[in-house]
Amino acid sequence: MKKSIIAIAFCVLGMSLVTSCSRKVTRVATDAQIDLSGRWNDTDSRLAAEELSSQILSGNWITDFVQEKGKKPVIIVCLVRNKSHEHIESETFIKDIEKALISKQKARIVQGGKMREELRAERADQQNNSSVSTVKKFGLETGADYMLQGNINSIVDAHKKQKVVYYQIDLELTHLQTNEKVWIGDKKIKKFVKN
Amino acid sequence: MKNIILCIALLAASIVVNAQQDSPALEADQNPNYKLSQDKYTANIQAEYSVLQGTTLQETYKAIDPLEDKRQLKALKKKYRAQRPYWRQQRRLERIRNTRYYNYNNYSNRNYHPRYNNYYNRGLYTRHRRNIRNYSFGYNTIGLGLGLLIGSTF
Repeated sequence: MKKSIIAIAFCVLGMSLVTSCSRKVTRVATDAQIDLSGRWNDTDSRLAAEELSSQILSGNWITDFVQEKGKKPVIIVCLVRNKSHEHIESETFIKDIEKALISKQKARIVQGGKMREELRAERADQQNNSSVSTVKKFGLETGADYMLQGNINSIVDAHKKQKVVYYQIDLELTHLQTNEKVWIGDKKIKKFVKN
Repeated sequence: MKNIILCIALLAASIVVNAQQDSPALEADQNPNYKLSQDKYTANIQAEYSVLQGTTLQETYKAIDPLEDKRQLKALKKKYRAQRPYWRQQRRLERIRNTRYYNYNNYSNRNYHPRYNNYYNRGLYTRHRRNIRNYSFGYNTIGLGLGLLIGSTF
C-alpha cells in the first residue's frame, strides 16, 4: 500500500515537471505590442509604416504632379541604408508604404532590383517559348518619375542597467529627371530600457 | 573628276545627316555634354545599383553599451567552454599521431648517453605514454651510472 502511494506520488511529480518544462506557443494579434529585449521589433516597424504611409499619402507632391502631368506619379523603391546599431530590415515597413500607395490609388509603383531582373528573364524566355499573340515585348516598361530612398539611424545612451535608444527613419522621394526632393518623411522612436 | 568630287560630297553629306538623325535633338535647356555622363552611368548600371533596389544595405555600427558587451563576452565564454572537450580530443589525437616509437629492447649507445636520453624523453614525445617514460627513465639512470663510471675510469 505504502509502495503504491509512493509510486503514484513520483508519477504525479514527474508529470508536473514534464508539463512545466514543455514549450507553450500561443497565437497573438499581429498588432499586439510585445517588447522582450528592447531591440527593434515588429511594433517599431509597424509604427514606422503607419506614420510614413500617412505622411507620404498626405504630401503635396502627389497633387502637384497630377496637376502638372495629368496622371499618377510612378515610383521606384531604391536602397535603404541601415546605419543604426542593430540589424533592421526595412522591407517590413517599405512594403506597407507601397501597399498604402497602391491601395489608395495615389501613385503607381514599378518593380526594381532582383525581382525586375526576374521579370526581364521571364520576358526573354517568352521570346522563344510563348505564342506570338501573348509574347510581351522588351522596351515597354514604365519609367519611374520618382525614386524612394531612405536611411535608418540610431543613437544609444547606456549607463549601468539603463539604456535609451533613439531610432530615426528618414525616407526621401526624389524626382528622377531633376534630382529635386519633393517629399521627406521621418519616424522617430525613443525607447527607455531598464534591465 | 567632277563626278568623283560630287560623290565624295554626297557621301559626306549623307554621313552628316545620318549622324544628326542618330543623336536625338536636345531638349530645351539640356546640357549639350549630356552624352558623356549618360555613357558613364549606362556602362555599369546593372552591376552597381539596380540589383540592390528595394533592399536594405546593412551599415551597422557597434554602440557603446557595457551591459551588452558583458552579455556578449559571457556568451563567447560559454561557446568556448562548450568547445573545450572537442579541442582536448583533437589535442590527444594530434599527440598520438606525432608520437615517436623506439625499439627499447635494442641497447644502442644513445640509451647510455645522458644527452640523447634527455632529448628523447622530453614531455611532448612521452608524457602521455607513462609506461614508456618509466622504462626510458630506468635506462637513463643505468646509462648515467655507466657513463659516470666510464668517465671516472678514463
